[in-house]
Amino acid sequence: MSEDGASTISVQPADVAAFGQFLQACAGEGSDAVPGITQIIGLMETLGINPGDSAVIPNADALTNTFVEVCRTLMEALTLFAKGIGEVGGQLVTAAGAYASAEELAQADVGDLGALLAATDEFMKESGGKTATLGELTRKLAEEGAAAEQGQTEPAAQTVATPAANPVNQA
Amino acid sequence: MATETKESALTAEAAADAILALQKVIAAISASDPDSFFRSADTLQQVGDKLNELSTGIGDRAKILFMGGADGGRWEGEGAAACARIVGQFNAFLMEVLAAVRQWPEPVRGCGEALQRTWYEVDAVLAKHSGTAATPEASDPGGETTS
Repeated sequence: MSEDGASTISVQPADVAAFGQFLQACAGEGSDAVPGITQIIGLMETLGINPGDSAVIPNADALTNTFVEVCRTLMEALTLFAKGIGEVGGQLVTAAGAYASAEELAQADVGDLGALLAATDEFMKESGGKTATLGELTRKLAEEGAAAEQGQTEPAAQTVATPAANPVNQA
Repeated sequence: MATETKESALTAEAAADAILALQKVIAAISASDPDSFFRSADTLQQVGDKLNELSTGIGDRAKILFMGGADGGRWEGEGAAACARIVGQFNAFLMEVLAAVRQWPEPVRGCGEALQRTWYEVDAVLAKHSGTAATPEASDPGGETTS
């Protein structure tokens, strides 16, 4: 019994292994319960925008460039996540196999899970930079989206008001 | 009479320039695809929804493993705590990514709407003035037709 009087039933190694497999599924195709990163990246790959001639709405062109950068950075972030969480899942499956019982599993210390910690190294080093970049790109995308909207009425008005000038460049 | 003819000629020339200019804008904007912005905004929304499902799913499963499920069983100990911390860091990252992705559909959709409105405006102006070049005398001299 624990201090609060409730029974404490430790999980079995098979439960930890199942969690590891779940994380591996998250890194890949997903499961019935959750979508996987592969599925999400597949969605990302269908993204594409076409602003046409950049001279008509220059801000649309700027937004398009940022959009491409946003998509690339997100896919890199998701790939980093998938690699890391997949390795953690794999290490959990391996680690769980080394324990014969719930009691042994409860005695596992950080040293026993060294490979698990090592698997997260790359993720820990790079994840902060990725979120910072995504935050910056998000601000940029919002600014350029607003600028594109503000500039949208100019082409027609300016074109007709100054017909002798080049309307395309004025837009 | 000669002055009137000269003014008509100038008006016709200006009108022809205006039509040509509008046609250039039409050609330029016709190359755009506003629907591509709408589709992408919808897809980004879906990406956000899936990231949310994923983050929630990982959080729920981790909670059961490390804090106890319906049967009260949980993984305890030093190793469990380290693992819980690692999984928590991964999920925190996913939630930060999700927070960014949630903000993307709006500007992308807005840009598509801007392109679409521009296309409609230019098209409307061109339709309104399409007869001007053919009948310059009917047009407003001095660019009055421009507003």
